[in-house]
Amino acid sequence: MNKKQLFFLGARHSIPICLGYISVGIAYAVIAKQTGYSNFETIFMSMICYSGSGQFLAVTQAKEGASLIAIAIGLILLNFRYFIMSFCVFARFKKLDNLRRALFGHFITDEPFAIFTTAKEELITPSYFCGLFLVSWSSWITGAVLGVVASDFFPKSLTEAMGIALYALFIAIVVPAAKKNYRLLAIVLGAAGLNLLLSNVMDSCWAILTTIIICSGIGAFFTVDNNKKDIVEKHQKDEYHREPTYEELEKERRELEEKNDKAKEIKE
Amino acid sequence: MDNHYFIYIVLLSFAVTYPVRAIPAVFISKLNLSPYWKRFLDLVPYTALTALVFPGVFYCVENNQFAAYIGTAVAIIASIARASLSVTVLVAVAATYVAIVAI
Repeated sequence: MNKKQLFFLGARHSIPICLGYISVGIAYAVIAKQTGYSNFETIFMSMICYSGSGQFLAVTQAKEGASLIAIAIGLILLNFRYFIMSFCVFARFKKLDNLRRALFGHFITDEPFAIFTTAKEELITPSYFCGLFLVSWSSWITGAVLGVVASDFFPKSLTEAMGIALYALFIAIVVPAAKKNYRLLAIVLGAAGLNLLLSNVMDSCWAILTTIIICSGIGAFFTVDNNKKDIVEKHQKDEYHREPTYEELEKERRELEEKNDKAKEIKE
Repeated sequence: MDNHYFIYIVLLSFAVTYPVRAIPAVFISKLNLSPYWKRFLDLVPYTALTALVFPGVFYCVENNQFAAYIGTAVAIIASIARASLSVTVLVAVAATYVAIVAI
């Protein structure tokens, strides 16, 4: 595949993210406007902060007139998972210059990260990265713009329902992979249980970080294959991600049999 | 609260978020990792996403946990039934919307 194809493939894989980002972006912009942000500040924050939960935190704290230091500490805690995610993503790029690393780094967020790190090995290229991450970023800004322009047109119950979009995306990424791999299923169930427990006793951002580290740490002893075939399955429905259908497997099997038969004939 | 309060927050949010993402990108990710740490990093997407979903998803609809439960259940069922990512997102939002309106 050439660079252009990779870029557009990345863009296509970002469509489900865009659906979520636009709806949640609208919800964010509506709240930011209510808090007293100007149109420019609302959209600009989506561009440079680019962190859904971080922006919601900053906006709700600003509403209460919190000090800048309190907001800064909250943001660092909340966004510290990007540290691990960024590490994950860029550990896969062997040859990439520092300028591009510094530029690309800005676009790391949960959802494109999830798609990127579970994609096939041959897609791990700068072009695919740009398609996936830049389009996601643009959709987040689009959401903010729509929210600023058209906040009055959206019924409240719809913006509330849109809040579940990103969670549904996460579920749609984890469940198919866990379904095919019982080790991963056990790790994921453990993570859900642990985080449910921990979030009762500590702040949710600490709970998330602790869960990630404990569950990945323990899980890494039990997953066998380190070139990620063991845990990462092709789970998306297109030619690069989806699993083979029954018909295709059947066809493959038949072809193999035919080959074997021919080989036998030749031997005989 | 002066007039620049909000723009300070916006700039601050960049100043504390960007380094968190850029430092591992530029410096740390070039280290060579042992197989154990590679497996660890391969698991991070799944543990991170699960931790982000549970229990956050239950509180994502204001004052209406029931609607959130419905949406979560629909998303899980859709993804077990191999719906694509976009379809899962759409049906989950639709189900949550119906649940909010109906109750």
